[in-house]
Amino acid sequence: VNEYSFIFAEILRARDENKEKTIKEMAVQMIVDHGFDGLSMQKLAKKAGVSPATIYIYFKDKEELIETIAIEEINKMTQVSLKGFSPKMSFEEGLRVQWKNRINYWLEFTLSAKFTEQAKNSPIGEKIKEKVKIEFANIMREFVQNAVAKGDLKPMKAEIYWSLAFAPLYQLIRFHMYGMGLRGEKFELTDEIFEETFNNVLKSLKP
Amino acid sequence: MSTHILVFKTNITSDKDRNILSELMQNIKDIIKWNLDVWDIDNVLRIESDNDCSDSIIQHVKQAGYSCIPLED
Repeated sequence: VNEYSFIFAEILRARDENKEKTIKEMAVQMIVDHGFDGLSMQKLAKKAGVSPATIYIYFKDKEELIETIAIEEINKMTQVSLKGFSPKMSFEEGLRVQWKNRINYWLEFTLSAKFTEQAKNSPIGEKIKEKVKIEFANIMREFVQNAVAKGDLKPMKAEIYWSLAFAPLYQLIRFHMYGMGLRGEKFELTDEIFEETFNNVLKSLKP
Repeated sequence: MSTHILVFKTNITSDKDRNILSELMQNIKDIIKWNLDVWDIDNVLRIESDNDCSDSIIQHVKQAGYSCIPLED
């Protein structure tokens, strides 16, 4: 034992899953608050209550840490989005489930949602594209194809479909999370507002 | 025998510096694996080794003109 022994950590020591979980949660928080550049492994160690060496047992570098978290978070988002959903549902029912699930994801897993949005728009997003389950994209494609085949949905470019079907929802979520409308008044995404917007969106998508 | 993870804050940033480091690392026999965390602000040198070779690592890296400080708790 010498003066540096405190920085040692034995890999063979049982990997503590709780420790790893805390490290990941704190990293998500730091990234949401300060961006990818604002995450330093040393600061992260302090926040997570572990030594820097401990973080480096689980992750070889910052890139691997962020990649691991991003893959897990995107898979979690997929899981929440597909809850109670089937591509065989009628277009109206399926889109409604999608809207509800996406609202739930943003409200229940706000930090995750913010992190995922940041990760998707970064070089990490490009890198992990192939590693992330493509299940979600395939299921959504099947849903759209079924809807078009049944005559419930106008055929259109994927980007136009997404912009009409989901962009209004995300804008409402943004207003809701901000708690404020366009003129600074209190805003809440109520069932009425949900229904009115949803029905207008549906109208724009139906043949 | 157990494997240790050793971490050091360095000022090794450029490709040229990294090449020099790469040569240094080859000369330390206890090192199993090493990598430089180029995304981290502390340019952390991470080493997997069979035993405590911190002194030797610090000595080699410092001799090459770089800083090498153990990342403390």
